[in-house]
Amino acid sequence: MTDPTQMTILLVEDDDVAAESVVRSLTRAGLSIPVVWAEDGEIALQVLRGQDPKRNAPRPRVVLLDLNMPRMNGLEFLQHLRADPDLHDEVVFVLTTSDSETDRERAYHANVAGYMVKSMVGPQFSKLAQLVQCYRTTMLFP
Amino acid sequence: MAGYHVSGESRIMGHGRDLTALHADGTELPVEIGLSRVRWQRKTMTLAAVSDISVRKRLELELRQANDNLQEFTYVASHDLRSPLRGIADLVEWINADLGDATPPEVRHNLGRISQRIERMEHLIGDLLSYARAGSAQTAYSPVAVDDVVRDILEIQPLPAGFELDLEASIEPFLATRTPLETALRNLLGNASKHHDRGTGRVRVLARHDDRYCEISVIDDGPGVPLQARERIFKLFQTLSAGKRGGSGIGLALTKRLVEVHGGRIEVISPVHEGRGTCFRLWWPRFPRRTSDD
Repeated sequence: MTDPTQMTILLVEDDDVAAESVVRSLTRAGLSIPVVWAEDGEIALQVLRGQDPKRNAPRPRVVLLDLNMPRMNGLEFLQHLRADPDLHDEVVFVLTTSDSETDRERAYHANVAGYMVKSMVGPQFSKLAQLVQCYRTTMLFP
Repeated sequence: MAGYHVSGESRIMGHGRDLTALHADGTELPVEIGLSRVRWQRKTMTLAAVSDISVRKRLELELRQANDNLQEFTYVASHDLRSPLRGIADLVEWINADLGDATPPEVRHNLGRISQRIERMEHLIGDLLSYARAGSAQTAYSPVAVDDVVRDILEIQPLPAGFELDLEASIEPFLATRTPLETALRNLLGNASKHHDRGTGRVRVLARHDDRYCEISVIDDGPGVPLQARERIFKLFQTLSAGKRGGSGIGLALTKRLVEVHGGRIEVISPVHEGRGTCFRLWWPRFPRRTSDD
């Protein structure tokens, strides 16, 4: 069995400040979880497939996915992910500013593990850090 | 025509379908055709009334496009405007943390002013969204008692100390969409004390049934609304007392929109008594409206 405490996070987010904010929130909560940052869906797919020259996100891993991104957005990324036999079981949490019902429905339709609206995960993503901590100590990965 | 032949009842042809007619100038135009049986010169005849509905069709299309645009705008406002703002808020916080106790007072002061403005902007975006969403009428009807609604509002949002309430609204409950009515009344009640110029005041809420409407008045004894501002107060982002009372200028615009979308209307009367006071009177429909969606 894999050791879940070794979890990696692949953060798919086009805004560098938002990405740094997630990393800072984890650091502030005292979690030493490696966070790999991908700026859009296409880069994220390359990283997951191990085709990125610089970045590497080994399993067990969790994808934190923003929806509104250039090139390949979050929902398009999910379509590619679920269609790929090697990646269709990836654990994906959506982390977005959009509280639109359509987005939420479409994300869950692509079997995401959860849908978080940024304004609802507490100041400075504090609840996100709690969730990540709890998740990696309680969950068994695919 | 087949149905008409069988029943002989007056009816609209092709109900639910689009009928078109060919104009003499060679263009096609949408029409509505009504058929009815008439006796004329002792014979049973069919009267067909053909109306050109191209103007209505065009307006319908424009309206649908306007609604689509508004939907798109709502999405842009909720996502694209909020994300950079959140980023700015984070950056301010990090600068604060990095500078720590060594921050020069004027820098700290200005960082505080940035944070205030971020907060105000977030409120504005939230308000814009509520205004956009207020554009679609709700259809969940339930019996509503006006005095209960007022009491519920004041439980969550009490009048400030020094303010008294006269509630004369114990009228028979009527079928209405409670949430928008409650929002409208909450805004009016909030305004009654928020824009008051004295530490003490009296707010009166009167309700009575008036034909097809329930007429509700919210009356305060504040400074009143100047004549020239009477139209303006119902417009988006117009506020009489700039900034300091924490009004973003959405309340009355939102209230008016909510009232009108649900088939009612609202007006302002000022002054009410001895040159002071404002009365907002709204007429809310007492009976559910049938829409084509039913």
